[in-house]
Amino acid sequence: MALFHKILLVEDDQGFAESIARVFAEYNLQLDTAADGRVALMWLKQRVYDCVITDLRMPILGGFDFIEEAGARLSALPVLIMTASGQKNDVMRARTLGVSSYLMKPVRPTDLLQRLAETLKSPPGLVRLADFPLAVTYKSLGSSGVAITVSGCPGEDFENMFRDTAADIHSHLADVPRIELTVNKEFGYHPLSLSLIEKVVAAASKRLKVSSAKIELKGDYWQDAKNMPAARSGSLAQAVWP
Amino acid sequence: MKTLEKLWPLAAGCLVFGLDFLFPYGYALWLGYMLILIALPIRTPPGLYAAAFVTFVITGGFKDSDSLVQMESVIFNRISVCAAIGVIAAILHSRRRLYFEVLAARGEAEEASKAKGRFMSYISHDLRTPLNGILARVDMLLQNRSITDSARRDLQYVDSQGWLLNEFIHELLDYSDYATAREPLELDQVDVGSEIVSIQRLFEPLLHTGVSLEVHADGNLFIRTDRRKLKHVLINLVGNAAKFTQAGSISIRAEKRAGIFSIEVEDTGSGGDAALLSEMFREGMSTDPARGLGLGLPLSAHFAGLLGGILTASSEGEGLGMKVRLELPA
Repeated sequence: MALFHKILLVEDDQGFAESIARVFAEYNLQLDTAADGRVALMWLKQRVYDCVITDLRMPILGGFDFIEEAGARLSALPVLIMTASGQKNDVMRARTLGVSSYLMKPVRPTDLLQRLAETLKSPPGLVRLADFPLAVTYKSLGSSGVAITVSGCPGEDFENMFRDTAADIHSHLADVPRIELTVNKEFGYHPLSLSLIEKVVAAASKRLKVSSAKIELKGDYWQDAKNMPAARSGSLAQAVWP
Repeated sequence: MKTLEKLWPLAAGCLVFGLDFLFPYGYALWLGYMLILIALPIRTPPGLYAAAFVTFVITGGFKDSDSLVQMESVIFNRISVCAAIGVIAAILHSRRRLYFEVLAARGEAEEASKAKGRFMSYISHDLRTPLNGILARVDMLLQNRSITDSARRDLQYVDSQGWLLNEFIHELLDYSDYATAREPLELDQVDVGSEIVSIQRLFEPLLHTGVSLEVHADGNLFIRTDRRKLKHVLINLVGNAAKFTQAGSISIRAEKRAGIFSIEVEDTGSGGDAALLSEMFREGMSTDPARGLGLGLPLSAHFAGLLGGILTASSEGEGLGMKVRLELPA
């Protein structure tokens, strides 16, 4: 089970969509945005979501038409409407379409988050990434190599942090026969955690001249990561996972 | 066609005259007269009813008029009565045209009113969209812990002014409802129970998270009143409760007891002190962004008065919830 939630935002106001995207990026949320209902339908066909947030008045395909056309694809999902229209007819129509919430614009991004926290029932719920600060530490295991521990959620500085750690190991230990990589569960709150860790591990193993076969994966994270859609195709996974 | 229209009263007169020959005792006159009245879809003013009554009395005299001796005067009488009927028919006819003109004008007015409604909804939508963009960014900046205290105060000011502007936009729509305040009452048998349930359905998606909306409306809750105005009041009351209740519940209770029909909207929201309670039914500009312009409640109180009722509010104090009660004669 993924530790983040996949959200589809259908909003034609680009500036507002960007605001939402920036706020959502601080949480365990993966956001796709569509500028109108037609694009949203395409996203829905390609991906699985945990929640859909839609505007009503949009060019080409409006919110109600989108919900109706999406039909069964949306029927099991919580749908939040976020619109500047407060017309009685619209609220009633939303009601008959089984929409879970109707938010009137202006909407504070924090209010939207609160509503989303209520809506996302499956664990782990809404998690603020900053509540789990990232730490990358290492410990020499003598002749059996080095143990690297990653805890907390990755942020913008994650790649630098990992590279610095690798450089540090490189300068202190002449030979690294194997790496024991422990990644804690919280790392998975970041929607791109798997590609991030694969990227840095690939760079580090090159630097430390450790073949990926000599990397041992430890920690709760990998249990969850195995079920991520991208897990099997990643380089790390191909080399290390059975 | 025009000439035919002019000849129409004459034709009506001839019809009545002919019918009178067929049926004795002048009953035909009454019959013909009633026919003309029924045939014309018109709200006849009291003056025409008076004229009709006079004609009725005159024609009543024909009952004993089958004596040959009185034939001459009878014929004279009949001619004069037919002329009178012709005049009435002509008046009715001219009114008839007026009636259709009024119908057409009303249709146009309704169309204009709908267009105005659409216009207002577009205006409010288009004003809110950029405001939404502004307030979203302001909220993001306010969440940022690294801004200075003075920047935070400035942003809070922008935020409160933005929300005040939003209230203006909202109440602009209310203000346009003042037009309906001048419309005459349209009395109808209204099932308040089902109206309340529909309002419950309307507001449930708009409530703050965790707030519940309960309805207590059992038994015979029919009342003769103006459906639109009553609904306007109820929507305003429940809307206020939904806005000011962040946690807890809102309950709508309707009951008919001892000749009084009462609907109570009680919430566990922000409530208010005595000063607010005395102020809130008074129409005028409010400077509190959380309260808005304060047009909604005064308008509701005005509507309650039009319906022959009264709107009262009570609160235990600030933060202790609000109870607003509408009483109507049952």
